[in-house]
Amino acid sequence: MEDGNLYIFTTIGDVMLNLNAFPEELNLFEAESSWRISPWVAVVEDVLHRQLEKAQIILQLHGYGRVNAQKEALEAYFLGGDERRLMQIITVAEAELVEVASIEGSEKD
Amino acid sequence: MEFSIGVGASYIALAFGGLYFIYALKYYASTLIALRLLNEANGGDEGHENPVYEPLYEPFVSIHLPFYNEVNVARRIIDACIDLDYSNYEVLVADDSRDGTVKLLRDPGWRVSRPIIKFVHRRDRAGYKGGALQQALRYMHPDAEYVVVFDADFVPPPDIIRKFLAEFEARRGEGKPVAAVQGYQLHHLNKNENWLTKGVRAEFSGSYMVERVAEEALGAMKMISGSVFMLSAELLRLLGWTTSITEDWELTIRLYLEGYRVVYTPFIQAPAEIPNTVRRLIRQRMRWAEGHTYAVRRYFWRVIRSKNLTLNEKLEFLYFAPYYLQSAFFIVGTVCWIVSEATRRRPLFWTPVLGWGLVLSNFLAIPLMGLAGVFMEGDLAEDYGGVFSFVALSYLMTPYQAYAAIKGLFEGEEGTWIRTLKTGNITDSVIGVKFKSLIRWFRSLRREARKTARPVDEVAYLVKVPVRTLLSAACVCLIVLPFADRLLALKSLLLWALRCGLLEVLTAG
Repeated sequence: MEDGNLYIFTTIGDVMLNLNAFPEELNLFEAESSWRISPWVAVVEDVLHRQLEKAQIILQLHGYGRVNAQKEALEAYFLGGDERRLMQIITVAEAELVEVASIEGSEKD
Repeated sequence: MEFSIGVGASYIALAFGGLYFIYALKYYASTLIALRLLNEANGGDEGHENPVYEPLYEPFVSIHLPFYNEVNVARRIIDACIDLDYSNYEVLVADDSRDGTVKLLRDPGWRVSRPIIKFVHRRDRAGYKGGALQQALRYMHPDAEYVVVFDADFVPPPDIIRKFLAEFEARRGEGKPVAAVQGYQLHHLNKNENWLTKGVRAEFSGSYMVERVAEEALGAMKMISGSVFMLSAELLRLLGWTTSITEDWELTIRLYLEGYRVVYTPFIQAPAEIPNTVRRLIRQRMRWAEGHTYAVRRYFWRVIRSKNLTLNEKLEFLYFAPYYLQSAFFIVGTVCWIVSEATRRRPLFWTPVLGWGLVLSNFLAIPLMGLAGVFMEGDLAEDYGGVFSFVALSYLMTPYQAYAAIKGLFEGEEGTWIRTLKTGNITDSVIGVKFKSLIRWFRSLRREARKTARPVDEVAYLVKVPVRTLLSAACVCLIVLPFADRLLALKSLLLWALRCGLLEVLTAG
């Protein structure tokens, strides 16, 4: 969560979760919200706190963990898929958490 | 009183008829130029092939697809863009939809496909298509060197990126720097759906096979037409999209003001749908008329005073400036003509040949151009009927276009964008091989010096020659028709003078 935006990302090689997992009532990836999706990052803009709480539960159920990353790095990752910058910023422990949370059978080293 | 009204009306009718005749002359000249180029190509270099892009490296290309409620066609265009024969590109959907398109974009299948597909959804439609394209520009890959734009109802063929890049490469170093390459919007997908789609198809053939080809040959200003074009990404980042309801026309003007040019080639085609109801077509044309005229009003003096445009480009802009206002001129001119006919009051120099000649010549200019376009695509036998629909459509659109153009000329702020619904209907095969073979003539623009070989296809050539000659002769006849009686009088005068001179010589002898 950065500046009211919710960033859901996976490292390259992993597959993003099915965004239909979020119920319509949550209004995350619906017509009435602003969002972006690339193969590695899904961003919802101007997310309300109550939306975020429910989204976090769903993400945890799908094996995603929370990490701290700068908005610029996340945006750069969305634009070009260059994960090096992102990985430099995320702490090793958090990076490991991402690995654990990734979908099984990932080809990631 | 009757006398003054009749004469006044006749002068107004003549003025507008004369103005319209200038446009007609351009259409006839364009038809003659295009037919001549076809002729040269038939006698042209048989071994010439379409340019192939064989790069040392493949520049990154970002394909932008602006969507608004495209549930009928969204999957078709995305699938077509995924299947392109190119390795270094992304597809970026700029979506403003409120319908089932949103659900379609969430499909997890898109996340694992190659190339990269990005979706950017907005909850509002701020700036309409221009706003959506600006959003796409903001989120495109940082390495992008070129941007290609397709509307949702298009189906780009696999080799389209390579063709665009080849065209950019071929035009590099020729005159002013190229900002964009515009391809042919091949409105064929549902051309046989009804009389309306047949008519619009004929109209587009005239525009893309004749008018724009002549503009290219003459080095005139060419428009970016909303879809099927490739732009320099660097330039687009610099200029950005505006929120005009005719964002393509406004970008065209801004590119020319910056000293760049747009090139057109009918060689790059992407098939598309045609609006299939009168209501949808009227709304589309009203938007074009309003936005076009509004932009002309905003930029007119800047273009005229600019040192970055050539004389030919400025002349084309001058011609293009009142393009949609012609509809208003037509209505006023026709009413005045009827008044002058009813009162039977006309200037002395207004002969029946001049009056009716102008009417006929003006009336047939655009249909003839459409006919020539259909002929050059090799579909004359099949699609000639569309020209009649096209004529009917032209008159049907006139009052609506006139209203919208006048609105655009005087309004303080542009109106809203009314989108054209895409149905996904397909009635015809996507692209004909015959079309590809016929448009080779376009390449002759740069190969005039090498025309020595025999006709490519003897049979086709034999069929084409009389039709081409007939169309060319019709153009010339219709150009001189309003002045036929004067030309005949001049001929008689010359013959009389010659005879007198001859008699004098004989008498002297």
